[in-house]
Amino acid sequence: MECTNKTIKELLPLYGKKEMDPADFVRVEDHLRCCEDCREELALLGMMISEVPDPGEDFWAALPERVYLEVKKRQKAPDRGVLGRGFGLLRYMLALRPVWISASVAATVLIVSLFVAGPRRQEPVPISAAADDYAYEDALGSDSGAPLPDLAELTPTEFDAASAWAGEELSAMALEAESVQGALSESDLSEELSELNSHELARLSAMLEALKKKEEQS
Amino acid sequence: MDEDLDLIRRTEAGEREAFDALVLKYQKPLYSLLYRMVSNHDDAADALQKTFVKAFTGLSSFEKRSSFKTWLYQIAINLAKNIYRDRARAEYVPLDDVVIKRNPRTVEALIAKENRSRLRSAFDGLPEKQRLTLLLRVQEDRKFEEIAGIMGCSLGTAKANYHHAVQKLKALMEEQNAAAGDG
Repeated sequence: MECTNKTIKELLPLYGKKEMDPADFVRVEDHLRCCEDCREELALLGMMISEVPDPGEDFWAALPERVYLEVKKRQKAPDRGVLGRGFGLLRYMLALRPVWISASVAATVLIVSLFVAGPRRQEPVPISAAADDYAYEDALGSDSGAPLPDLAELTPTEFDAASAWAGEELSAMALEAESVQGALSESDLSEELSELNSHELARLSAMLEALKKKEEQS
Repeated sequence: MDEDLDLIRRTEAGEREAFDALVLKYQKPLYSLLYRMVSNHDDAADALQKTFVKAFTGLSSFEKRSSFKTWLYQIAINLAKNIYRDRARAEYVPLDDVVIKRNPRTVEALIAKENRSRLRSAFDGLPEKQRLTLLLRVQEDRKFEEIAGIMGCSLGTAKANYHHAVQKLKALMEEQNAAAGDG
């Protein structure tokens, strides 16, 4: 009959060895007296135990030196860690590009409008109420006194020109992004847009609304 | 383990004595394990040297989540597995040329010479994890906690592997005995 005492079975390999706890030895010995299954298992395990031939003191004495010389030889090989770190930095820079490109999209439309609208603007008309809090003109590198354009004020011709120019620029940027990163998935775009702060998102949203309204009117 | 960490720190600082101390401390138990896995001196010696070289060249990657001994054993086992697979035929239990330790209490019940070769065949027929667990427990006297660390599994899994290995070994032996007409 098969014995189900797993605790005893786990101790069998140590039975009779110096590593065995004396209390465990007594417990196993008592069990073996009345369990044929465990006696047979012990016999089976006993067959597996074999002595390992000793390669000799010369072998043991020489090993540390052999290992040391081999380790030193390998340590003189070129350090690929620097290259690996270089590639890592390049990947990091490329990973930043989509975020940079997305932020630049919003900036581009504003630049175009600024260029096209030019002298017609009389007063600065912030697109959103929060616009004053955000120094977008600083990000654009324009003069501190330069007013921000109101897209709703553009004439149809000006709007078309700005739209066409921005469209070309966006296409070029998209192609560049694709060539670097591969086709951007929806999730990639969402992630990049999430990098924009609330002011940028609000402005982008308002600009898109204004463009849409203008298009509907024309 | 604290002693090992101190030796590792000193080895990384370039101290040759610490380096030699680590090799001398683990060369014999590792050789024993490797010999049992690959069954000949040349392969065992080669794997032993490679184990130490790999460990010392990759010392900076030792994360100290396990003991240095466990980490060395893992490296050694992986190297031995490669040798074993390359050879495609292993003699984990070299019963012919070695001394068989006999338990005097069960010597009368011990299996005859022809059964020893059946045992070797059955042992070779075990799945790798079970074979390794059995080797570490029975031949290397490793505690189950050590085996779990070396195999990268839980304590319960290590014990389960051991029990399954013994059961399967018995079943394979019975099949061979039946096939040989022993009944």
